[in-house]
Amino acid sequence: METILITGSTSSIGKELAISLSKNYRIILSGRDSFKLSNLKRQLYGENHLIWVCDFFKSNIAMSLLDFLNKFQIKPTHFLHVGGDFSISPIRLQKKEKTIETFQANVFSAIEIVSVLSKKEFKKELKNIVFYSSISALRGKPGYAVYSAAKSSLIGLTKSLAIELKPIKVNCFVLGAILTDATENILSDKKEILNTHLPLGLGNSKVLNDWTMFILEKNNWMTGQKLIIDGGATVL
Amino acid sequence: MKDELLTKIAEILEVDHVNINDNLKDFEEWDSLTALSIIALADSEYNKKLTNDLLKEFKTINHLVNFILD
Repeated sequence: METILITGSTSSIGKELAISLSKNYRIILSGRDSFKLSNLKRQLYGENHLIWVCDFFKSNIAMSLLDFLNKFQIKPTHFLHVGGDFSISPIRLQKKEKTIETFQANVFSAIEIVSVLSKKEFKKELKNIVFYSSISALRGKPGYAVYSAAKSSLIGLTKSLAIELKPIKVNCFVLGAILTDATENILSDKKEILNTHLPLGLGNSKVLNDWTMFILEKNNWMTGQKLIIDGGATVL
Repeated sequence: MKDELLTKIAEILEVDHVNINDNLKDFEEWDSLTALSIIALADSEYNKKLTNDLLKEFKTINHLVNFILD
């Protein structure tokens, strides 16, 4: 059975992915809250799933992942980087610590994990890397500068890693406004407006399930690409 | 605690200091982004869920401070 490593697995999108993919794959749930992770593990189909607890802000991610994979003798087949950190602030108030935090959760963590998975012993098993970016990487909005920069970085990684790690497929989903626990605060005030303004309305946390399965399971001859999944927001 | 919060609010509003009776809307820097920063401050450092609608109801710094420190 193929194994999928999912970061940010306790987020709304990560959780839906983990549950839907657990029917056919062994899932490695990653996150920092072991209580939430254990709860999620109970909701998965099947029994052989694993939990990798790692605090991306405090731990040595690469070392922690290596220890984990060696301990359980696992070589992941797919890596889904859903994990991230969302914060907005006027650039004049942007603190260096917050900038580092945003990049740590969104970008540096992904780099460290990919660096482990592309070592000789793991690389042969790895088939797909998928980064979950945001249309903030393509569209401007006040307060979003650092978040945009971090999410754009994932698109940059996608292109060069697709070449360096071939034949592993590396692709990036660029997500529009999706109503999740994390975005509820920001979107709730504008829910009505967005639902009429966006061609397909707001997304829900399940919209990535089929897309992800398509990337993992189909011979789609696609790598290094960004797929914009935004309910039509960027064509407006 | 209150002084610390007032300093943080002043920083967001880009003024040297704020008084509790100041009107929020009188500040030159008062806009939707400033409002978002205040909401973020209340959430991340004081664990208070402030919404845009609620914030609109606050007239003075005092209303805001009372809510955050309540």
